[in-house]
Amino acid sequence: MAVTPLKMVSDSQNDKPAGDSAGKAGDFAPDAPSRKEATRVDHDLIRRAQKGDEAAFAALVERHQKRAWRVARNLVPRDEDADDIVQDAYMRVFRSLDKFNFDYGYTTWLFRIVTNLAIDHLRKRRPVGIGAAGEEDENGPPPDQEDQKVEQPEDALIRDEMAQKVRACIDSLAPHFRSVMVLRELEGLPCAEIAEIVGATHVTVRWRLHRGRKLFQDEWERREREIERELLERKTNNTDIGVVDRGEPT
Amino acid sequence: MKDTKTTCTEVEGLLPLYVGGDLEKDQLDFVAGHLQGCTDCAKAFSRTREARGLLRTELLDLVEGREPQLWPALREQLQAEGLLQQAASGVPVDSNQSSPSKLEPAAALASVLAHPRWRRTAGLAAGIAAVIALGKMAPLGGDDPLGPNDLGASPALAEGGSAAPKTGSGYGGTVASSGAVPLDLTADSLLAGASAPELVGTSLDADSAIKATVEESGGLRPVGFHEQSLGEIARDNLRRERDAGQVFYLNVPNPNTTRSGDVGLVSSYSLQ
Repeated sequence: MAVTPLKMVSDSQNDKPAGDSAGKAGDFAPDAPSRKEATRVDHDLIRRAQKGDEAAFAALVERHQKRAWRVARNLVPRDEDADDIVQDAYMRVFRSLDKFNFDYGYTTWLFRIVTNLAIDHLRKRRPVGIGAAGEEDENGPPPDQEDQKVEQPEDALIRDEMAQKVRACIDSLAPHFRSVMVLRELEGLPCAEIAEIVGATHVTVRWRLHRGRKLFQDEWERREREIERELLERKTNNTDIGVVDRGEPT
Repeated sequence: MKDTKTTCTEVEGLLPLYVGGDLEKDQLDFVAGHLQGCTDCAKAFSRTREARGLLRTELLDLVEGREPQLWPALREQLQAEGLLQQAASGVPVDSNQSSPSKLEPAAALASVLAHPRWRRTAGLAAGIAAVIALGKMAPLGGDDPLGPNDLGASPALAEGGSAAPKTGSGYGGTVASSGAVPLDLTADSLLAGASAPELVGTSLDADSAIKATVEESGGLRPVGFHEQSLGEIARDNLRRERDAGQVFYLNVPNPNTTRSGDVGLVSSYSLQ
């Protein structure tokens, strides 16, 4: 998979801190009436699927597979992992359809399964915070290196490097932080719904969101300082070498 | 009246939530007002906003334009396992999973509190028990809120035996160490100058128990939200706020490694 160029989300889409987005779900989640209608449609499909209507279940899958996959993919390192997780999630949904509680939204349940499976996957794969060293033999190259097969133009490489650095910061977050941040920042779900998905109180969700953003920023700024320090050292060394060179006989 | 330094510290602590519009309205207004007149905090906010922009950009870019088509492979698997045929014939598909919990709410909570993990955190269990004893909350809700409990990794209540069996490693690991802990201020152990790590011993079960007992009942009203040194929380503010009849959730990154000098997040709620 080629790494897509990094571009900043525009302010209008990205940053609405004060007042205008207070208490709202975010930029991606449907508004309340749309969500209510979507829930009604989901429930209708579930009722039909419960009666053995294959087309209804297929429609249920197709309605939400993209969002489910997006969430999974941002939690696990490879496309194939996300494929497996979402498929596994839908198998579990199918097996438990008869027990579905219509008091709740279908997507909340689906996302809950997906995030739990993804977190399980991460835990089985490697401990959080452990580097990729040693994994290459068994699991192929580490995620940060997977998409480097195609040579890129210089500007694209710079963007890719940037994206990799950002991804490394995201990957440094513990799974329970990352899942909350993906659901909030990518899917724009409100904290209350995220709380239902991850099985925690909304207070805990806000805490994880707060802490996750802070940890990400700290990690990003730490890496930036590290790079600046290295550049400065390199510059200093080059200067020293230059002095020596000038003194050498030709 | 707060001095400027205190206000700046408070505002900087709120920026990670402010940047996403995740604060209560009064807090949003407070931060917005402060940022207009404080250059240092405005710069800090600019850095927070930049970091969030990078984060969101990467999350979006990774999945941009991806249109997974899962149904063909899924259908194949369902057919291979005979599940589609079974469903089409009108026979309910047996998930081999236990049905959603139908335990009485109190029994469900009791089973949670009986878990060895709870017994290891006796002080916390005492706190929970004291919260319950307040008797100001609506009846407990012990059922899993989402219906079917075939959730890959089961909800925390499953460990107490009240929900579905776990099918994976679940939240028994690192997540368990990051839950919210209710600090009931009537519990003597919390007021006897216990060290911060003792105060914040936690598990995800605590989340679920409190969720079952308090939050789902709608019995809490948010009062405040701030970051604070755990030592300060333990020694000063909790005692002071107790008199206001509030319940606190105290969150720490990892209670197993937390020391009193670390910063935790306090959210205070009043019982309605």
